[in-house]
Order: sequence, then structure tokens, then C-alpha cells
Amino acid sequence: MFDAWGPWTWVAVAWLQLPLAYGAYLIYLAWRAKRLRAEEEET
Amino acid sequence: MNDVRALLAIAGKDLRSEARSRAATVATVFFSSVTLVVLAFALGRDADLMTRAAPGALWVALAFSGVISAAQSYQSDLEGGAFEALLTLPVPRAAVFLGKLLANWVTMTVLGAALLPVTALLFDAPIAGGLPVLLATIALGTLGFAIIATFYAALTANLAARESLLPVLMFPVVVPVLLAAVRATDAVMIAGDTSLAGDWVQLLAGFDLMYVVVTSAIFHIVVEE
Amino acid sequence: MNPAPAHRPTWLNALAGVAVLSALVGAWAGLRLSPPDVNQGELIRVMYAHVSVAWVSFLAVAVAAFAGIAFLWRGTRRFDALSVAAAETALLFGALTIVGGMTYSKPTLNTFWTWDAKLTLTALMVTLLAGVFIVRGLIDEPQRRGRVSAVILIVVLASLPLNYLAAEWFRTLHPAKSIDLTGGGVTMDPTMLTVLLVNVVAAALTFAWLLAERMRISLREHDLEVRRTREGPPAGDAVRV
Repeated sequence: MFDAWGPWTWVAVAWLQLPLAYGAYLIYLAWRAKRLRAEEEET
Repeated sequence: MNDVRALLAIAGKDLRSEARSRAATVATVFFSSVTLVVLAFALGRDADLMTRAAPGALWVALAFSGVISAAQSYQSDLEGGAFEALLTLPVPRAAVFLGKLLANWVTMTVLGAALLPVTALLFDAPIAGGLPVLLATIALGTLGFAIIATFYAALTANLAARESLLPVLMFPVVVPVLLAAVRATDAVMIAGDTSLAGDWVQLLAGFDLMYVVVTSAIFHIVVEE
Repeated sequence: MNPAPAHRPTWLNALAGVAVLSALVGAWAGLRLSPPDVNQGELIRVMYAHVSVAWVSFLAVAVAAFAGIAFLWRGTRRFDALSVAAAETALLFGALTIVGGMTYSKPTLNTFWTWDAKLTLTALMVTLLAGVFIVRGLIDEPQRRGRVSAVILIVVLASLPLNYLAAEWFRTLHPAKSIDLTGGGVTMDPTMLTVLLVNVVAAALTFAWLLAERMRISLREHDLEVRRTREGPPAGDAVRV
């Protein structure tokens, strides 16, 4: 499957993984902030 | 009591208690022998492969046993409350660390020297040609391993899940030591190139020096209350 | 008494904006400005994305370790918060480096993994960082937790050059007599070097932004923990930072 990929496909994969990873991390941080907010309300 | 005397006293105490607790010594020897034998069985069909696997097998056996005995060396102390007592003495923490390190190192070196002929026999690997270099490799390789093991064993000593945590924490740090040790052993046993082995041994010495300096400097933080 | 959560400060939004902008500039430089490589053709563009992230992952570890050292020295919780945030972002960038490395090596070397020095080092580094978080999770007392975490990060930092050298010499089967600090690899023409540096800056700004976001959370968690210790926790799990 990977042998069929041309160079630009690889380039696209390499570059798209960056905003994907950063975006996922930001979502994780938002989730963590939300959980924190809930715990702050409790205290 | 001056620091070096304290260090040697701690090492002596550890070694003596290990010799007395024959259970720990027997378990370690047994465990490493079983490791070697099983590996020999696994590779037994291909004589050439077996010989080439000898360096790796030796260090796998040593590494496993090393982790176990490092964890043990703190266990008996903690249970008896001896470790806290040790820390109340006016001895610098570094001396405590180096004392335990010395004990662990001596144990591992003796084990390594004992496993060497066993490996040579089981795996049909030649050791006569570079025996001094091989012994230097064992000494310096086990030293590097012991430094990291002694340090992390102290760190995880009063944590939950310490038995599984110790190898997890240690492994990435110990990789270059094991790598150099295996390469040096391989250079003697397989390639018959003692000067190449010598290069790797020098590298081991460099690692050991660096790690012993770093760990003894920060050990006091690990054991403070 | 519940203090109101802080507003998002302007500087943070500005930082985010600058980071995104620089990332776009970097992408344009990597995808359009740079000529294709003599040997690797268009695949060289993968290198820009991967190498910039790799360098920043090591930077992140250094930040985490030095913040830890500062915490050992000063004991102020800001440093521990910075250390945790940097360690977590280092984990992110490290994991990204490994994936990027595989994305680079498959088309160029026809295999997803070689025991390349830099990738092996990154894999070991990621394992070490995971260890830091495991240990942090096991210690309740904040000062001790911060100190133990700092100590492990010091060992991690020390291990980086050694792991790199070991992996390099493992590959070449011979320990080198001298150390080549240029890192070998592809000799780049000036345009390519500029493009790489632009991308390194972009990655570094992204790191700074994510670090700042993460640190805000660390600080709030530390505050919550302090309040809980004073007032006693509500029913339920204690906060883990």
C-alpha cells in the first residue's frame, strides 16, 4: 500500500500530521481545563 | 568517621548481609543460569547463530539479575528500618550511595565473572583470546548498570509498584551501557578484535564516570524526607 | 471562596497568532520556496517538517530539566508547573518526531525504522518522559513530587548525548575517536538551510504557545491542590498534576 504512494503523498502526510497533533493536544488541554473547572466548582 | 571509611563500611555491611542471606544470592545465580540455558536451547539448532548470540545472552542474564539484586539491596534495609537509621548518621548522602553502589557492583562483577565461562561453554564462544579485556568489559559494564540501578532503586524504594517501575525507569538510561558492553564482548568473542573492544571499553569508562558524578550529586534529593 | 478563573490574557492570544502565522510561513517555505533536492526530490520537504519538530523536542526536554533544577534550587511552584508543562509538550513533540521520522524513512530508505541514532534517541527519550509522569502520579506530596521529577529530568537530560553517541556508534559498529557535532547528514544549499531554520522557529513558537497553555493549567491545578490541602478534599479523586 505504501509503495503506491508518490512523493507528494508522503509530503502531505508529513505536513498534515503537525496541525493534527497540535489540534489534538489543544483539545486534550481544553478537556483538562473543563475537568479542572468542575473540580474548582466543587471545592 | 571519615567519609571513605563510612562508604566502605556501608558496602561491607551490604555485602555481608547478602552473603548471609544465601536465598538472594542463590536466587540470582539460579535466575541468570536459567536465562542462559533457555536462550541456549532457543538458539541451539544453529551452531553459528548460537556463538554469535553469546555476547547478548551474557548481558541479558546479567542485566536481569542486576535489576533484581539492586531492588533487593534496599528492600531488606527498608523493612528493618535500617535505611532510615543509616540516613540519620552524620555521613554524606553521596557516601551512602557510593557504599551501596560498591556492594551492588561487586556482586554483579562476581556474577559476571562466574557467568563468563558458563556462557563460553553453553554457546561455544571463545574467551581465551581476550580474557583481560572481557573482564574489564564485565567490570565497567556492570559498574554502569549498577550506578543506574542503585540510583533508581533508591528513588522507587518507597513508591507503589516499585518492582515494575524500576526496570521501566532504568531501561532507557541503561541502553548505552548495555550496548557498549555487548559490542565490546562481541568484539572479543566474535570478531577477535581486542583493539575495537578496547574502544568500547573506553566508552564504557566515560559513561560510568559521567553517570557516577551526576547520580552521586543528586542522590541526596532522592532520599530526603 | 472560589476565585474566578482568569481571563485568557492578551499575550497568550498574540502568541497563538504569531505561532500559527509562522507555521503558515514555514509551510509555504517548505512546500513552495524550497527547490526539490538533487537526490531526494520532493521528499526533502518531509525533512523540514520532521527535523524542525525534532530539534524543538530536545529543546523542550532541556526546558523541562532546567525548570526542574530551578525548582530544586528555589522551590517555587511556578518552576514545577513549567517543568511539567515542558515535559508534556516534549512528550508530544517527541512522539511527533518518531512518526515524522517514519514518514521520512519509508519513502527514502524503504523501511519505517532504521536504528538511526536520532530516532533511537527520541524513542528512548519518550520512554524516559513517560517514566517521569508515572512517578509523578505516585507521589502525593507536591514538594517531594516536584523534586523527584526534577531529579529524573536531570538524568534524562544527561542521557541524551550518551544515548545519541551510543546509537550512532552502534550503527557504524565503531566508536568514533572524535565527535562530529555537525550531525552529518545532508549538506544543504543556503536556501534549504534558511527554510529549515524558518521551520525550526515556527516549531519553537508553537512549542512556546502550547507550553504556555499547558502551564496555565498546571498552575491552576497546583492552586487547587493547595486549597484542597487546607480545606480538605471533597468526596472523589484528588487532583493529579
